[in-house]
Amino acid sequence: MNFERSAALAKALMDFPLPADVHPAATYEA
Amino acid sequence: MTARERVDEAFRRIREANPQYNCFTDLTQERAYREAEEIDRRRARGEKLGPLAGVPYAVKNLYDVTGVVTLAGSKINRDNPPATRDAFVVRKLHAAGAVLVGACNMEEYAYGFTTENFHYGATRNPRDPSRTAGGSSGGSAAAVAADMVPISLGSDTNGSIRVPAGLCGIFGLKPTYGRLSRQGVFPFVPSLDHAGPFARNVADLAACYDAMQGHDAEDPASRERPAEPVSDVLGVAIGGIRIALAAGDHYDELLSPEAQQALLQAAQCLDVKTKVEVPEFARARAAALLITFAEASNLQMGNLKTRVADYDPATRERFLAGALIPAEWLLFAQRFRAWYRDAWRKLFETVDVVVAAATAFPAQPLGRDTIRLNDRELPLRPAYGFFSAPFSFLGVPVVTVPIRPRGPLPLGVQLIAPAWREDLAFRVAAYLEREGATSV
Repeated sequence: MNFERSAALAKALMDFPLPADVHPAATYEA
Repeated sequence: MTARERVDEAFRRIREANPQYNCFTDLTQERAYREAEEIDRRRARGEKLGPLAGVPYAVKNLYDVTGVVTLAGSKINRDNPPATRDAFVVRKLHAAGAVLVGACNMEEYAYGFTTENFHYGATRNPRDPSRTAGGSSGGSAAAVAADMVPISLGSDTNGSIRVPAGLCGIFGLKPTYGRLSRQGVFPFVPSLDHAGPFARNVADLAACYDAMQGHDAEDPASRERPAEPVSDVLGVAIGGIRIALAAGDHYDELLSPEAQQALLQAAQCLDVKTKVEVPEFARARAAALLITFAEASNLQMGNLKTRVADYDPATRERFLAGALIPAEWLLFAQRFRAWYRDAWRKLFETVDVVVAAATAFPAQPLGRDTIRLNDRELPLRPAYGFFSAPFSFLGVPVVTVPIRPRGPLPLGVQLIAPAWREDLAFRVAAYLEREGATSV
């Protein structure tokens, strides 16, 4: 059940057309 | 009152109320009286005392306290030796004269929103003991709401300060990510964890926050910025602050009538007529949760392999599921975080403080599994964090304010400001308090 929830969240998130030049490098900066 | 008398009063109140609400897992009586008597001696000698001299406070039991085992709500951590040093912010509060009286109940490893702890029991909401106090910092919030201590510390990863503050009807602060050191705070999701305070009024919240500021090289996230205290700006007029209500992207349709009412009262008091479209609210929450699942499980991997039976059953399922998150999901979520932060930086060019619900609905009865919101039956526990997770994901500061309830149960609103601008959120919170829109 918990993993199914994760998969549903991932599906909803990864539909987003994120530009290719967005990198995770600055992730932890507010 | 002397510091000793204040500590006496705090322990009297704890003895009276804690059996009903189950806020504390440890009391630090010997330390508290030692600290209080030292303050009274210094006061008698005419020495200058710190801004929190003699003020009793409590911490969520994931903060290191010298001589106390840092439980982090777990059975597993009971086997650890007691901490040999106080957490950075506990040392800061000690230097300001605050007196530690104990450590508070929480969700196991801070993983949840209801403080229904399998090992230590549920914390009950002082406004209605049949209901949750919220979580994961439920013990800290309820201890303040029940008047056992005037201030306490919690931690907030996806809403664990803002949710219980709202549900218990008190003030809470999630500061900017990197503002307050997490050294000596048992980690849950290091890229999202924040330390922060609870209080029954804005001045106490500000005083506690101010006392804890300062760079700490032992927390890799701690930023080298000078302290930016807010206590002195609470009375500054808010006329120049551009305030807007959050709207859009499924946000409105999830609000209960009670949460809509709380927002309306805040908006009327602040004379806010502007709304801002919150970008990608649902995806921000999804990304925050995927990062949470993966990072939290990674930190627990050793215990998951050797002591899986010792977890709270609800928490164990979450950790095990998180261990299966593919790297692709995690990296996408982290990239989305960078995009989302930039989108909000643009939004903050046109507005200074955004007002949003702290939770979509008031505290529900303990043990309940689902909630019906606008004809949709949803799992209850994660639903408490609908509106808080996107802002810890952003890392921006948020003050949660308890709005004077029309019904029997309190509800909070979030005052969301740009990174490093806690002062703006505090000024708006102080205005709401002065105008009588809040209730504790």
